[in-house]
Amino acid sequence: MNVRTDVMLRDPLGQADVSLRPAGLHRWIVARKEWLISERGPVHIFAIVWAVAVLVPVIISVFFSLLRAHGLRIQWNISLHAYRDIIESGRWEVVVRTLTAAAAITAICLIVGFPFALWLAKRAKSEKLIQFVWMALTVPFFLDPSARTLVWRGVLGSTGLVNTALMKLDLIDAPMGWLLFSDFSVYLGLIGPYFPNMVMPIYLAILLIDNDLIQASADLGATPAKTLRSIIIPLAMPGIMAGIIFTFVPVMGDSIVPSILGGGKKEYLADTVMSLSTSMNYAGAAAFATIILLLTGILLGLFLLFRRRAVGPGAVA
Amino acid sequence: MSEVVEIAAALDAVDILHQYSGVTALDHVSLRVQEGEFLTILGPSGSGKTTLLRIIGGFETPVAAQRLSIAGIDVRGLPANHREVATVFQHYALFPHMSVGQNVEYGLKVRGVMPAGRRKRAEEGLRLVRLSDKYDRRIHQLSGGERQRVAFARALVTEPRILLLDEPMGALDEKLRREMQVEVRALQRHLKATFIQVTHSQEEALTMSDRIAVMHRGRIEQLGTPADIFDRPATRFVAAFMGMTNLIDGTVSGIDGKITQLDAAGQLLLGTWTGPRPPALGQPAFAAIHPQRIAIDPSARTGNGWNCFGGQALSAAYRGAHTDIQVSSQIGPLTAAVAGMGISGAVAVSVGWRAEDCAMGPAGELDS
Amino acid sequence: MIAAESFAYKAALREARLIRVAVWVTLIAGFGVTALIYAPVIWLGVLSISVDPLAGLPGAFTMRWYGSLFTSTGWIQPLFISLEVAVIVSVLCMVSAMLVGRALPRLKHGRGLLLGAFLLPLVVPGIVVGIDIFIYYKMFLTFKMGLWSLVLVHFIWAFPFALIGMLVISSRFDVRLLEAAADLGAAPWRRFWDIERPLLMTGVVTAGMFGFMLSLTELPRSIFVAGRTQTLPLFTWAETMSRGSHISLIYCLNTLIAVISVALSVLSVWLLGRRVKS
Repeated sequence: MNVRTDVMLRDPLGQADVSLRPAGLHRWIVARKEWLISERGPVHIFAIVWAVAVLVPVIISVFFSLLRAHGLRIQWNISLHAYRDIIESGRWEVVVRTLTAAAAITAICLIVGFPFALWLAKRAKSEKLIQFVWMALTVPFFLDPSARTLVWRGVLGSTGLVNTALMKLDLIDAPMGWLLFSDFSVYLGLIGPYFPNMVMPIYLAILLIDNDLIQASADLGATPAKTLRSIIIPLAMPGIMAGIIFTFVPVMGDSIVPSILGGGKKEYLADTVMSLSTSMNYAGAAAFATIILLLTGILLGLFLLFRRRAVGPGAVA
Repeated sequence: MSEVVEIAAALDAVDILHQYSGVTALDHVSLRVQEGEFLTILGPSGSGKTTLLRIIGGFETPVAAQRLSIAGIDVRGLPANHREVATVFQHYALFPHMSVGQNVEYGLKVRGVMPAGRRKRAEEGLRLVRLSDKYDRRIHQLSGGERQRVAFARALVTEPRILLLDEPMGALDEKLRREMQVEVRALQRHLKATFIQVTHSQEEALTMSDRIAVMHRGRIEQLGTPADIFDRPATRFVAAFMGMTNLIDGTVSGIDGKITQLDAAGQLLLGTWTGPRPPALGQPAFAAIHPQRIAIDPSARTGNGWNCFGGQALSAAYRGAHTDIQVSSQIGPLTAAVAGMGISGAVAVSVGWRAEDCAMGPAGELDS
Repeated sequence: MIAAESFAYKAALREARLIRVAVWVTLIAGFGVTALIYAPVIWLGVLSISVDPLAGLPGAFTMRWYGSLFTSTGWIQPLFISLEVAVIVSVLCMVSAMLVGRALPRLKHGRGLLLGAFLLPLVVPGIVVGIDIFIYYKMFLTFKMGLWSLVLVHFIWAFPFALIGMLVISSRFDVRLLEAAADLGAAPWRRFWDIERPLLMTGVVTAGMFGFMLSLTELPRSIFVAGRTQTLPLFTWAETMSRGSHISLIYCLNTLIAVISVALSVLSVWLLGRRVKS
């Protein structure tokens, strides 16, 4: 019945064939009208609007980073000034620091998230518990990032919850200054909110692994560790890669947590973009945005390359 | 068929051509179905039978059609919702968000029938398929067989000129399928309605239809009564598709009235010519025999009009109602279906069949 | 023989014990990290009713700060702007997710490419979207930033989520139902209204809820394109960065927003899950 499904996908209500209809301009108009009221028309129109309103600005900004600008006035000559500035002003350090932080946070999320996702997909028995965890991982997308970050100040500050409590218990004499406005506080603030980004794709990938496959591996005498290594991890790889991207990229570009919990002492990429744009150095901001975009692109490219290799050539349409 | 031309046929399709991206799905097909007839389009998947049904239903527009009329009305270019046909879909396509009653009423609702009137007619329709008490049920509460009945009721209450059945038994289990075959046929006779069914099951086609159209590679290979199709196949494909597993190729070596003689590598066979055109001497041809028409050791029955060959029984496969015996004979391997347990072990046997049970037709593809 | 058996038995026991320990470590770590999301939100609520929110340990509790929401009214204007933007984004999400989501699974050509393009904002950091939209519209096209640009960036952020919510429903929609309706005599508009609309409704509602909530709490993109307009998260942000004296007010306000967000997102995820199961 291949023929049948193919036909339906192609042309569910038989509107594509116009050979029984008038020819020439009239036929063209009839075809356009049908295209518009069919389901395809709106999608094509939306895709064009989306490209013009959303994708073009991104391309333009890359181009913009190659221009020089004073305030809102653009000078129309192409130069690598903005990029030279990044190196000369020593701001490349920011790139290194941000990438280190993003890599570390991604690694922590992966180490904690993979077993957690595995447990959730294959070991958790109670339907209610699974639903609860799934809900708990969804809700963070809908929380105000500044509000939930701000509270950490009240927890980690020198007069905050942790220091006060420890001093009351006589465990420390003076408040620990490194708790807030440090790499530690930034890491702490970033791990929680981006943990779901890691767990969800891995969970979905593991969920798709047939239980029979895992059972078969055990029946053939494989230890749980061997099953994990040779069955689960390879099959969950697309999910793991997606989790890494969904965690690394937004952490790299997060501007709220470093601003609130970094206290301006340790600058991150997004801080720099903000301060450059505040000082109206938009070409510089665009250059940094381009760098973030480029790093994202490289990661995505690696992901696609990896997936193609894993699935095999030709299998990817 | 020419004597009934004056009456507007339920379906009159002439020279339908259809292609998908260069592949021909329907190759100049013509089909005429009379009012009150139960016609089955039979063929393997990819033969174009579903495409033909979809073109009649209006879900697909053919590349070219000389005529396509339903009850005398030209429906070329007319979309599905303006055609007076209704379809029972293979997977029923019942609306999951509506109750049984709402499903059955839907066709009447879009035609603007008032609630009271359509409720009455929907209840009638449900009574017809023996589901009177299921009016308020949700679709997911029904069994497979009940869903199919709802699909029938939903299609019938709109009083279509033709009811199209797209493999309606496909999703049912064996027992239910047999029951429904009888029931649907009875329903069609009772309503005196025109049914066009698509199926790949020869058993379904034989038990339900007035006529059968066998399709192969986008063409109708043969159109005839179930007996015609089963016993008098016009082509090698129809013979094979209708279960004539014993196929012997040769050339026509003699024609004597109703009896044709075939020369198969030196062995002579007698049979009845069932091909579309009269045979010619020296023409390449096939002979086909149903396994159940082959007798083992027909010693008493040899004589005029009988083919008889020596051979060796090789193996027997028990099939319940009968046993298939593989025989290596003088004219090649044959299968014979015999009642009971049959024989076991390799023994020398003779096999034989009557000339009128041996269909003969032209070798190769059907020509246009 | 007995020795070998008992060895295998001991190994199996050891393995089982190891797995049990691993599961416990996993759960403690997993729920621990999840707690990093919720502990601040809960603490936010605690601080909002503390007499002295800046003291380390909360001592006395009061509802005074919630009362001050009525006297100190700087948050009302931003709230209304936030609601206005959120409602517009929500409607845009419903309409576009409906139009795109119903058709995408049925497209023959370029389905993957289109889906990729629509989901792209998921992997582009908010700050990049913010600065890029600003540069394009403000610097190149010299448009004035304001409500419309907030709506635009919020929509860019929310649309992928709305689309995914819609696709969960629409990819399960059986196109043959539309053929059946046509067969029974329903015209195209009728088919849409009677068959598609009710069956896709959950997806549309989810898309709208996602759009509303994501817009209501969006900050990183808004910072660049708000112009002189101030949304509620921008108000919070400004108060935070200026270390203003309204910190208790901010705590109260955001506790309320968090409660509403949690309730709405639980509701929409629950709705979606219930529909998928049936």
